[in-house]
Amino acid sequence: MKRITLMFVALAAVAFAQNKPAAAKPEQKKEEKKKEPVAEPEPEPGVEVAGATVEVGAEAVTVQGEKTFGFQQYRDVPHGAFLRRFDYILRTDGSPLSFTIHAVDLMQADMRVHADGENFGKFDIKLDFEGFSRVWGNHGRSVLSEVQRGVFTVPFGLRTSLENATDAALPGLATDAVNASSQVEVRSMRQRGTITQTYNLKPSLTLRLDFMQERRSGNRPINFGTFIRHGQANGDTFETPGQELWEPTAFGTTEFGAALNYAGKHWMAGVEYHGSLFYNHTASLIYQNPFRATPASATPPSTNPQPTTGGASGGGSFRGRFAELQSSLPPDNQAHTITANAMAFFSHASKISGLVSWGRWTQNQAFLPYTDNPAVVVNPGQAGPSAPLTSLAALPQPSLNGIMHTFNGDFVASTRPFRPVQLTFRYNDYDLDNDTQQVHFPGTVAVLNSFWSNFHTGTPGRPNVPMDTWVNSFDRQRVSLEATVKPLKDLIWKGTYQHERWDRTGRQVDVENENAAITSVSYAPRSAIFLEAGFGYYDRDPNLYLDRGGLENVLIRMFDQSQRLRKQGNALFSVSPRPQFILSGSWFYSSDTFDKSLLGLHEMKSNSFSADASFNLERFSFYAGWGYDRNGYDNMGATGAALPPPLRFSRDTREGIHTAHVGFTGGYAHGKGSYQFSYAVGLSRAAITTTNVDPVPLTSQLNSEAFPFPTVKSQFHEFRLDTSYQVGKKVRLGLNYLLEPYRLNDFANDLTQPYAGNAVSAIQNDASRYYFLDIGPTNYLGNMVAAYLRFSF
Amino acid sequence: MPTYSVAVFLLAVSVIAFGADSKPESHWEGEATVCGACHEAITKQFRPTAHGKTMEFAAGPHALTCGTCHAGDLQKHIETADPATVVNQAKQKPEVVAESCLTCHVTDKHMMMWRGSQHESAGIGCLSCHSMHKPSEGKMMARKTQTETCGSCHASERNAMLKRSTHLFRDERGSVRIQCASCHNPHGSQAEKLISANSVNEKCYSCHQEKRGPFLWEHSPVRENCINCHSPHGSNNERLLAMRRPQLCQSCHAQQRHQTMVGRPNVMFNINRSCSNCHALIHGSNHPSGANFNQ
Repeated sequence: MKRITLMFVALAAVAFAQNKPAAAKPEQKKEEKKKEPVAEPEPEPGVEVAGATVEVGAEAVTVQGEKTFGFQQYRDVPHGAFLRRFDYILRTDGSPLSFTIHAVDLMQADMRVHADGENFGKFDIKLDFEGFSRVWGNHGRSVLSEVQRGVFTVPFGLRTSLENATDAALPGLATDAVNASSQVEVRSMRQRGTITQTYNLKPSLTLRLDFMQERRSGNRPINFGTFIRHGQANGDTFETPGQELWEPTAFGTTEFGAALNYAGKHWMAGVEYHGSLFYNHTASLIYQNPFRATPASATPPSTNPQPTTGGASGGGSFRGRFAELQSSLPPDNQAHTITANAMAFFSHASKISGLVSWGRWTQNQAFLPYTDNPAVVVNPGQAGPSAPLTSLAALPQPSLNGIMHTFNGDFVASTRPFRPVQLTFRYNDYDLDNDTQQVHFPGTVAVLNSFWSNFHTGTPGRPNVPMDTWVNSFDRQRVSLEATVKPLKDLIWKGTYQHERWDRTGRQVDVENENAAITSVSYAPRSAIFLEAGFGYYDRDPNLYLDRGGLENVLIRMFDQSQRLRKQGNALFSVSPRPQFILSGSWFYSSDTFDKSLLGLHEMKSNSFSADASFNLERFSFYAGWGYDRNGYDNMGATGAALPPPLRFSRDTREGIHTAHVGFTGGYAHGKGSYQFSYAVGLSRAAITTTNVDPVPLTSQLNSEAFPFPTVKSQFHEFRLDTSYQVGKKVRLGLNYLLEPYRLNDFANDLTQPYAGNAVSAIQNDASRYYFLDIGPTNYLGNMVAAYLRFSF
Repeated sequence: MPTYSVAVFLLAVSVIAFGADSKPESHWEGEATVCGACHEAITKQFRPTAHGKTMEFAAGPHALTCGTCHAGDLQKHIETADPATVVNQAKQKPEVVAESCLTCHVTDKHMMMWRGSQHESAGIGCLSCHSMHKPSEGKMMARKTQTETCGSCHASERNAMLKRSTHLFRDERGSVRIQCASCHNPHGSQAEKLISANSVNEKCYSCHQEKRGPFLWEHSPVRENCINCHSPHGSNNERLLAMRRPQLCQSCHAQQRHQTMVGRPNVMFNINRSCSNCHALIHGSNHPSGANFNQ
């Protein structure tokens, strides 16, 4: 990062040394005198001729609350002194050379720098550096320590004591261990540097070269769960010796490309190459089970009731007794894309254009072994490799050798045969071919290092699904014809017919067709008024649902493949009775209805409204806006031992969120001072309703009976106050203040503790042995105040 | 090949190209000065812009004068100062403005898809977003930021930044750190929703490269479209999810066993990350024992 910073500073210094802005300076001053009073701390729109701006100051941040990450979720907010902004612009009238640099949050990990050098008409270079921070959570606790990247250990003594503890003593021991452990903060960082060069080889021939290097570091949360099953008279219960820990994101990506474009008088053509190489510097993630020091497999079927699932090998009880688990992480991969495009245009505003693109994605990272739990073996009577399951020699092949090919073809013809009518025809074909060879595994180590199974564990009645990889491909074709007609001077009518066809291999529906009719009308009798309304009707019809012999029950329809009727409507208005005043509003509606005779998603609806008003005077402006989004989705699920008959239940969720913002800006002291105040709020609410459709027998109460869910609510407020004052000819003093209270009531997080003991398990099946980091979002109150000096010269 | 070596090489080439002695002749004298006699402030603002540089240095088919955009009887305009004698693009219909701009920009690659694009057919014109004489830095935008520009029509997307999870990352000063144009080309594209890539997924992979695969165990809806599960602008649910889990997963996985266990709020299927408490590698797994995306 420092090297990049120094590079930019050096470039700026070199350019500054060659500065000849003498001719430009007086003009700039003259223009400044004519400017209206500055209404905001940020500069008004307008391309500066030459000059530099430096902003230095100090910032103080306080965040109150148990989990405070939200305030800094997307930004590594600094404490103390900062160099917040550095701009340098060099443009000289009469010279084709120009250089600009804009930098914010300099010397910070998530700073942003953009530099641009141009020799007009000949060459242009852009250099960018962007940093993004992401705070996932803080104040979590874990008994695991990351001893090296991707390797998490627990003291052997603690594991032994937890393994040997009685059921009564375990919660106390585990809770004490968690409380004594150190806090964990999970955060990741992305830093990206880009160079883009454009050479104008001839007035009509352009070559562009680009190069990007990205580094990602830090961690993000990841879960590993499994369960222990206990048969009960009224349904099964489960214990869950799962883990939440932090995945290292030591990623790197290198991208490069070249593009050549030729522009003729009535046509253009180009060809482009782009390559992307992704590296994960952590080959796998290994963690020790805090509850186990001695590796063991699941209880074999001879000593426990044969489970209804799990294949012939059983393993239904006491799963998750591994001492260590090794998980895969995102593998290294590569992508290469070649694109060719061409366009020709004719009279009557006519054009035809085409773009074809071929891509090749590959991945061939070495597989990990089936398991690192030495206690898991191929039981007598089971098929399996002769080599130990912990050995790479047991695998049918060392790596995937995965290959996918993509093709995108897009063709557009548009014409205006006579002035009030425009016709547009479009055809798009996106094809993804998974050319990876199918892999047949003799079996798998099921449910996280627990037992060897020859089959997928799956739906009742379908226990013997072989361990073959699914090689799915698809081709999506879309054709549309659009007509835009202006029957009156201020009236536009638009109508579109669209047909979309999916052709899939390896999924339950191989072919589906969707026909759509979309229309809209807009009316703009004067520049101060704009009205628009639209409606769309989409009918998706899948081919026969194919029973692939997999896990899915034939009563289920994957919502992305099933029959769907979609209706969409929208309306928009904008009125400006006076030039200073604008009032606008919009409404959008969407309704998806799926086949209700089947299980899965039945309905999905959304409504959104917005209203905005703004009022702009010479030295004062005011704006206010409100929005309301409402989403609803209804599912039908089924529990029970076999289908049919199912034990159906419906689950409906209704989400609503109000958002509003209001603010004003103004100036004082004859334009020397400016202020800006804004308030934004987001209030959300989600109500989940679950009801049983069929009577629930006593033997299925635990798993099938519907219970009320608490309403999920969140409140986000944001108050901002910014003011600045011109204290000298080249110096401006400013102040920023931010107050951000956030409140969240979500049972999914509120019920999560690092180790819940038996407090939760006593109610139903449990999370008693689930080790959550407990870093999830919760309430906080953030305050930030910053004072700065902005020097302009 | 070491990354820094490539960067240094490109920079070295750049310095040579940048410093190439090829100063073109300035055409600023003449008509611009005539116009500037009355429109002094406008021409001074205009000169350092990309269009101003074009007017000053370009020749041949790219030559530009005030009259290129402000057609009409310029001589009469000079004599009478009557605004009606020349075209004022700001008062023209959007399609008329676009015709004028496309006279030069029709052969720009990023403008190739403009004709027939959603924005064109919606009656949007160049000056709806851009300003020729007083633009903000970069892309000649009329407003200060892309969020302001796009949000003036796309209110629902703008409001998404106030939702529980959002892609429109804001810093402590309110600046949005992911711009609309990071994903969309407002001038038209080869994919739906003006996505500036061949598909939604290919756009997502440009930042989330680790999800590109191919994987040993693929999750079909993930491979086909990220938007099957995510609302990219913002969501009331964590991680931009279109629905709350487990309901999102149950939209397809309603095949009994624990997938559709109704459950109390505090069971492991409903707390924290719900289904992803166990099926964490839901975008795809490369582990021989990862068929269920749990390792």
